[in-house]
Amino acid sequence: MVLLKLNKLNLIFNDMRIIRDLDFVVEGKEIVGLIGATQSGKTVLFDLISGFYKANTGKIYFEGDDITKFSVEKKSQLGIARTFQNGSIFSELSVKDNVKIGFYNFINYSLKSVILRSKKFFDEEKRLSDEVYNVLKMFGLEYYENLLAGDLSYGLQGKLDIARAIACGPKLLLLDRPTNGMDKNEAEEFMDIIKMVNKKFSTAIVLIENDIDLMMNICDRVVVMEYGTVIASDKPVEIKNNQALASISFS
Amino acid sequence: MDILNKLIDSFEMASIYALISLALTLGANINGMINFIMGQLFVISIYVIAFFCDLKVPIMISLLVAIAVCVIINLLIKKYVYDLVKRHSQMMSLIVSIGVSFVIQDIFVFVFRANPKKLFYTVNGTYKSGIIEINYTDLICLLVFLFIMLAGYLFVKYTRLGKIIRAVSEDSESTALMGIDNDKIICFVYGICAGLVAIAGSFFCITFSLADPFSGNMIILRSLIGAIIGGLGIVSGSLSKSVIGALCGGFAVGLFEILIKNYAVAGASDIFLFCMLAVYLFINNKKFLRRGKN
Amino acid sequence: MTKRFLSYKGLLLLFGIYLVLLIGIKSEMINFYWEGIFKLALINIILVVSLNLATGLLGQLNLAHSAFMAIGAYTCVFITRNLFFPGFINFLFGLFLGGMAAMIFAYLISAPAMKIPGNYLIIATIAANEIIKDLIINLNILGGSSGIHGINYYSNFSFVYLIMALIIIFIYVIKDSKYGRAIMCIPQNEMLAKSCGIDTFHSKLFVFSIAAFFAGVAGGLYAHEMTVIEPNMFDFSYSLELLAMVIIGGLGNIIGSIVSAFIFSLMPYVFNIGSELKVIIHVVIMILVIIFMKKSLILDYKRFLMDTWSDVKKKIW
Repeated sequence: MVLLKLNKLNLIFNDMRIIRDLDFVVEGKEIVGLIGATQSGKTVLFDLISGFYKANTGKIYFEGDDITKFSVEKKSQLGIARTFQNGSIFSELSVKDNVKIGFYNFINYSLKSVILRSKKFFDEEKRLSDEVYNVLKMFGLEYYENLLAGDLSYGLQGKLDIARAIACGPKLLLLDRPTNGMDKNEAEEFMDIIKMVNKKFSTAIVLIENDIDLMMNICDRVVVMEYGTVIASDKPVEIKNNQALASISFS
Repeated sequence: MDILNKLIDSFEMASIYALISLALTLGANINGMINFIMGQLFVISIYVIAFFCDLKVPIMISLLVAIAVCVIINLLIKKYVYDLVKRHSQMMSLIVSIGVSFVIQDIFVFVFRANPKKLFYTVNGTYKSGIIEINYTDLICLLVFLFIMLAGYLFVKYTRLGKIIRAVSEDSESTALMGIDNDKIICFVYGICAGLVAIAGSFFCITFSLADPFSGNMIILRSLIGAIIGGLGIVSGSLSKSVIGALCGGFAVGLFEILIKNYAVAGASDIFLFCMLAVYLFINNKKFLRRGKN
Repeated sequence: MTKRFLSYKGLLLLFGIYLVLLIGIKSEMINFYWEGIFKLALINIILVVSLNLATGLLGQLNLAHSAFMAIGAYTCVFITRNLFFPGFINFLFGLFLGGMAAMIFAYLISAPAMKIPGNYLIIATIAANEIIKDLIINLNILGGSSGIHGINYYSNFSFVYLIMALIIIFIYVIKDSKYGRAIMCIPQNEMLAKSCGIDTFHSKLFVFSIAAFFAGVAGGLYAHEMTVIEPNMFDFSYSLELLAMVIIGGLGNIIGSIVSAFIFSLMPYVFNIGSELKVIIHVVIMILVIIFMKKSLILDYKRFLMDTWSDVKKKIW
C-alpha cells in the first residue's frame, strides 16, 4: 500500500535546479534509507515533503490525496512527522513539555474552555499527562521529565526527538541525520529504537544518514540521491555492493 | 530654478546624512550590528569642534581633535560593550547600542545641563561663488562628499586593505583561518566610521549657528533610513556598491527632506520619510539577508 | 514555576498584596504622592508583562510599545470626553476602545513586522513610534505638541490594581495550556513548532495583538492618572525603558517582569534620582544583564544563581 508518492518534483531556487524530476515512493510500514553526497538534495526533499518548500512542478500524494499545496501545519495534522538535522528539540522547555508539544494536534479544547477552566480542559490535560508519561517510559526518559531538554546529552536528546515526533502516532516519520553527534554505540542503540517504533506504531520511516553500514540492518530499502534526483533504489546490500555507486562519496 | 536653489541649500544636511549613512553601513557590514552611537558621536564632535574653535584654534586642527575623540569613544565602547554582547543575536547588539546611545546622550545632557543649547560661530563665512547661487559651505560639503565617495569606492575596490575589509565583512570565520586579525580590521573600520561622523560634525559647525544635545537621535534615524534605502542588508557581498549606495541614500534623504519641507507640509518631513521606509521594507522584505545563517 | 501560580496560592498572593497596599493608602501611611507612584508602577507592570509576551514570542525585540500606549491613551481620552454615557462607564468604554485601537494598529503593522528580520524590525518599530508621535503633534484635534490637559481622574487605586490583576491572571491562564506551550516554543525553534502542527503565523499575530491591546488599556489608565498627556511622554525612549525592564526581568519570565517593573518604577522616587540618571542606571543594568546572560533569550535567575553558587563552591573547595 503506497503511503507517500512523489511524482516528478522540481524545485528551482535562485536559477538553480535543486530537485530534478524526482520520483519517490514510500510504502506503509516501510523503513527507507536515503543516502547521497552532500548537497544532493536530501534535506531539501524532506523540506518539500513536510511543506517548508513548495515545488515548482510535480505532485505529492499522501494516502492517495494530493497534498502538494498544503501548509506545514496541515501536513503535520495528516500524520507526517519530522525531525531536523541539528537538534530538533525545544531546548528551553522541559522534557515533559517537549513531548506535550508532540501531542499538540490531539488535544481538543477551545480557547474559551482554557479561559473558563472548564471540566473538559482539566480532563484533556490529565489525559495528556498520562499519555506523555507513557511515551517517556517507552523511551526510558521518565526520570528526566522535569529537566530542560537542552541539558540532556546528545543521545538522550535524540531519543526525546523521536518521542516527541511519534507522540501522536504519525503515519510517516522523516528523520534527518538523527545520529548526528552520537558515538557508535549510541547510534546503534538508536537504530534499535527506530526499529521498535516502526514495529509498535506501524510508522513508515524515511531515514537520512551518512553511514550506510548503520542502515544495513534496519532499512528495507535504500534510495540514493545525486544532484537532486533519485539514481538508485534497492535493498541495502545491493546498494552497498554496487560498483557504480561506490564512486560517490557519501558524506 | 527656485527648486534648484532649494536643493543646493540642502547639500550641507544631505552630506551630513550621507557621511553618517556611510559610517553606519561600514560599521554594520564589518561588525554585523548597527552602531547607534554614531548619532551621539556626531553631537560630541560638534561640541568638541565648537569648543576648540572658541579657543581660536584653526578649524582643521579642531576637526582632527574631534576625530580623535570620536575614534577613541567608538573603540572603547566597541571593546568594552559590543564585543561582550556579540555572542547573542544581532538584535541584542542593536538594543545594546541603542541603550548606550541613550546613556551617552543623558550623560551629555547631565553635564551640559545649564547650557542645553550652545551658541557658536559659523567658522568659514558664507561667500557666494559665481554661477548659480551656491554657498561656499554647500560647495565644500558637496566636494568633500564626492571626494569621499570616489576615495571610498576606489579604496574598497582596489587596495589590498580594502580587499581585506571586504573579506572580513563577508566571512570573518574564513579570514580568521587565513591568519587575518579580524579584530584589528574591525577596529580600523570603526575608526574610519568615527572619522566620517566627525567630518559630518564639522559640516554642521560651518553651516549652522546653534546646536543642542538632542539632535543626535533624529539625525541618526534619518541617516539610517538613507542607509537602508541605499541597500544596507541587501547588497551584501559588494562593499564597494554599499559605499556608493549608502552615500547616495543619505544624500537623497537630505534632498527629499528639503523638498517635503518646502513643497508639502512643513513638519511632516519625518513622517514622509518613515512612511517611505515602511513601504520600502514592506516591498523588499523578501530580499533581506541574514548574516551568516540562511 | 507557572503551574502553581494559578492555584489558590497565587491568587491569594495577588489579593494579599492588594490588601496590604490598600490598607496603607486608606490609613494615610502611603500618602497621595506615593499612591500615584504605586499606580504608575502597576501600569508599568501591565506594560512590561505585555511586552514580555510580545517579544519573547516573536523572538524579536520591538520598540513600538509606547506607540500602542499612546494610541490607547489618546483614544481613551477622546472617548471619555465625547461619549454620552455617565463618567465611569465612558471610561470603561474608553479603555476598551483604546485597547482595540492599539490592537488594530498592531494588526496593521504585524504583517511586515513578521517578515522583516529582527534588526530592521527594531528600526521599523522606532519609525512607527515616531510616526505616531508626529501624527499626534500635527493633528490639532489631538492637542498637538502641548497635549491634552484637564483629563478626568478616573484611575483610582483599586481599579488599576484590578485591571492589572485580571491581565496577569489572563496571561497565566493562557500560559498553562496547550496554547501557552505552543506560544512558548515558537521562539525556540520555529520550524519545529510548525512541523508539530502549530500555526506560528497566527499565534504570533494573536499574541502581538493582545499585547498591543493591553498596552492600549494601560495607556488609557495612564492618561486618566496623569490627567495630562503630551506626545513627548510616548517617545521611543519609554519603549526602550520598558524593554530594559523586560530584559532585566528575563524574557519569558512573567514574575521577573512584574518584579523588575515594580522595582524600576519605584526606584527613581525612592532614591530621588532625576530622570536622566534614571535612564542611565536602567540601561546600564540592562546592558550588564545582557553581557552576563548565559542563555541567549530566556533568563532564569534561579539557574544563574545556582550556577554561580556552584562555581563559587568549586573555587572554595
